[in-house]
Amino acid sequence: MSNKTLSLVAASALVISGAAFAQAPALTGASKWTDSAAHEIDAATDAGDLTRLRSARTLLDRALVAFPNDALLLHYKGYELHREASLQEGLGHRNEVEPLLDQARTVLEQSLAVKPMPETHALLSSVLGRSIGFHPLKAMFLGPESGSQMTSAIALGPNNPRVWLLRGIGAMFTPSQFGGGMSEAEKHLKKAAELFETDHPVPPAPSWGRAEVYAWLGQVYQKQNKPDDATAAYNKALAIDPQFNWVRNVLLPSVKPR
Amino acid sequence: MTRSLLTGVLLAVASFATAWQAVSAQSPDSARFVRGTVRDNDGAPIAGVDVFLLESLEGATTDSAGRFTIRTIQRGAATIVARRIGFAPTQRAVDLATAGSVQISLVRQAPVLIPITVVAGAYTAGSERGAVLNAIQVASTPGATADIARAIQTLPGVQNVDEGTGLFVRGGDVSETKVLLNDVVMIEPYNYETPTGNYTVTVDPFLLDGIFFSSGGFGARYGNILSGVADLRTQGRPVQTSVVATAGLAAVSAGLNLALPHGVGTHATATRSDTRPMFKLNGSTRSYSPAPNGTDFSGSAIWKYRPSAEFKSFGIVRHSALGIEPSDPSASGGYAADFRSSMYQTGWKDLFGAVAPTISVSSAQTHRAEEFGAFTLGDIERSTQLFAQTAWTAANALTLRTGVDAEWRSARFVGRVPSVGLTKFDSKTSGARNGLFVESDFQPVNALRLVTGIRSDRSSFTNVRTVDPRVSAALRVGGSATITSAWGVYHQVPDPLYFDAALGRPGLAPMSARQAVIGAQLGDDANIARVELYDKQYHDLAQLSLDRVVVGGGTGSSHGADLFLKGAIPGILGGRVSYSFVDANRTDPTSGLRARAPFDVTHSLTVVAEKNFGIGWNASGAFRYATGKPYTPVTGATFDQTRQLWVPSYGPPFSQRLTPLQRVDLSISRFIPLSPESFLVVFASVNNLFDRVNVFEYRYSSDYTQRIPVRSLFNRSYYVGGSISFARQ
Repeated sequence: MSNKTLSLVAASALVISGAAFAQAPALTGASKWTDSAAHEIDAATDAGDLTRLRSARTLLDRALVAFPNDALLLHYKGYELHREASLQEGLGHRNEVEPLLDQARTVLEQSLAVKPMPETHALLSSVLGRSIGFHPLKAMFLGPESGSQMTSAIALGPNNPRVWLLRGIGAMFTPSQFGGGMSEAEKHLKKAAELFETDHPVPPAPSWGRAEVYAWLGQVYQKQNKPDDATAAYNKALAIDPQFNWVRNVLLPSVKPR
Repeated sequence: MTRSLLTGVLLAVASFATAWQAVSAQSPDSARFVRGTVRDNDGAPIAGVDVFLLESLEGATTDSAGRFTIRTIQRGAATIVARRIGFAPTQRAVDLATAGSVQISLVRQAPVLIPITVVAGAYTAGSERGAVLNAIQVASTPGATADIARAIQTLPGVQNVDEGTGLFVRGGDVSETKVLLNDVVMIEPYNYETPTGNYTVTVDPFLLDGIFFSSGGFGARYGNILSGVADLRTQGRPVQTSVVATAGLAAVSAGLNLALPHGVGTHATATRSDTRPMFKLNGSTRSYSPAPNGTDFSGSAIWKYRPSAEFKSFGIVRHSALGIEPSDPSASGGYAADFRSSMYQTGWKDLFGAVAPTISVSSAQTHRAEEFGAFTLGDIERSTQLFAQTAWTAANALTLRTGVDAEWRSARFVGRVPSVGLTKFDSKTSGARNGLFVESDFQPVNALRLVTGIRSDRSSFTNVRTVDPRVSAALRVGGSATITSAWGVYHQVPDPLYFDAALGRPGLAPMSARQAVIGAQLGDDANIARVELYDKQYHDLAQLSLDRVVVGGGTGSSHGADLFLKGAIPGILGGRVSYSFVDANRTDPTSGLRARAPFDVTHSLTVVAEKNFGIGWNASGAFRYATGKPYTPVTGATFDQTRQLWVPSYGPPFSQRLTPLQRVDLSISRFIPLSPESFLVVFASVNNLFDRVNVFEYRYSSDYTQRIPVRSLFNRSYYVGGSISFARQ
């Protein structure tokens, strides 16, 4: 073996070992559990697995016994409740949704009291916005509160793709006369997609949404009667996350060719 | 070079070795099992307990025999945590190598209690979850003209004595219900008071964050109140900066809300009201000169220096005037009034662990000048108040509250009262009251909440110290049914005017009421059915006779039933029904006989229905019915040669009733978004749709041979307006 070959082997070995360490950073304490829970929530969401989602909450609840005031743990608990509410709503269990949103609101407010993060503000904005559906008469209070949380989210993280993702989703469900609509949603979701290109959060910071943004963008395109664009968006989502069952089994088959 | 290469290779190999060790250490073969049982303090196994190792969070749930098995890669010392709702969580250290079967005992405790928010006699309105009415419903109650008191009148326990804003609660006089703002009493809560009714409560509902209303059985925290409490809380820091402008047929207003950095925010509102355009469009049941008009400015500043703490200051300055020309032959002159008032309040609240202190101080002043023909009264009142409370959450289910309140009142009365032989008077009176209270709020089990308290007050007007014990209980039965009850003693010092040496009767005792309430409620949010029965016994009532002479020592009683239904058919219709039955009597101050109370309105019914037609459109309607209020008939008159006037003779006091009050009101509003940051609301309403002639009282010709009905203030009237708001996101 020549010196050159040895150098290459050694360099490769160092790169490989270095990469191995980079992929499995030595997270400890609350960060370790936060990261585990985050992966569980995302995997459960991909699979539409309610049981696995609840297991992630159990993990977070256990970790919160050890680290009761950890902002990220609280954030992820709010994130899990938000996801669980969406899944329950998708399953038609409307009665289950409101208590989950109430809990999510409480936990996200606790997280913000410890350490404000853009994603936490944006999630709280989303939770408050969704609560309007259960209490239309409180729209006058919940609407501005939701808007204020989104304003704080953008102020704290103007280039945070998850903030723009949630803003885009919110716009999809807000009538155009209230500042929402498909064009607004498309604008925000495209911005989110663009920001995800350069988004490399360090674990356990929130990293969700990279594939999801295309799932929502695809739906916007469907509403705008752009099936080709929708298909492209869904395929992009699957390219990023091949396990994204919602896109594979529900959204993509729903596209009707022009 | 070769050495460095070798070092690199060795490092790489070492890295792989370390990684392999880490992986192999987690291989299933090396897993251990921690087994055990969880029991309660009686030795019974507990199912559904989450048992886990704190270091690795590996865990399991106990089965029906209380058994658990945790699969772990942990070694050596570990901490086992066991948790289940209804039991105190426990942790214990174990050595996994020697642990054997781990036996864990959990102590049963009150679980994370579901708060019982239903309290006898109490209703809340605001944006918080569980409110009986929210602020929009307050503002959109048909016929309420966005008035807080009129919206409160749609709750049970308030008698529709007339069409004014007075809160006559459960057979009590309007003066027995106090309006509080941020814990201190407003000495002048009403605008445009006239002898024949009043129009509005001072505070704009959109300045409020919430309202607590109690028709009886309220706790020891509220002193110097006999019948009812309307406790208003002003808004906290605005969530966004916005400008609001509103214009209607009778008023224009502008508001500015600033959300500033560092938790600081302000609200400011200026209103100019002038009823002339409204009366020009609708006509009027009175001949005004001038028509009711006024200005008011209010503002608040908030510093929320952390989520649980804030300083808040609120101020309001008002001026209003009106004149009513005489419309009946007995009147020697009309009525004219000019009111000026101001109130400034500052409060602080914080939370230090389990201790939550609150302080509120206020200074208020009113100048009132009134003319009733020959009778004139100038009244200047000043009030300074302090309220301080500390709430200590002593345990999961126990909160102890203790506090003090103090009030310094002074009043000067200037005027002329021909009938008591005084041509002129200029009199001053002043005094102070202090009170202290202790209250325990205890939820010993999930289904039961007990609030017990005692308060003591002393006023320099009466020179008497009173002691008021109060108890209330709420028992949750099943999922959403709650049985409530309350009992208490309540005292109130008569108005300072009553102690005036010239006009009143110094030495009056504090008025007292003993209240007992029992009721039940089904539901606690969107759909509510509630019924309450009550009994009140009054002593030492101080009242004014027909000749405006102060008479003390009155007694009385009131008992009745209140019913409240609130519900919605989603997407179709929402609404509420309030019904109150009351049988109230008290000493008639003119004759000294025990008779019907002047506000003994046997049946009061209010039905409110609202329909949301989709985003933006909202319509609502209300129907009100009330038994006619009692009055004392004039049976004849004799001519007094000395005074050269007719002196009436009266029949049995309050033995007859006016015709029943009925009224239908409609309102409609449209919310129009203009941009994401701005919106317009336009609204229109018809009050007294069928132009029903409701009689406020009877007056007589100067020789009392003719009885003239005086119509209430409200004929059929239309009102339109709009409000535009711009916000900065």
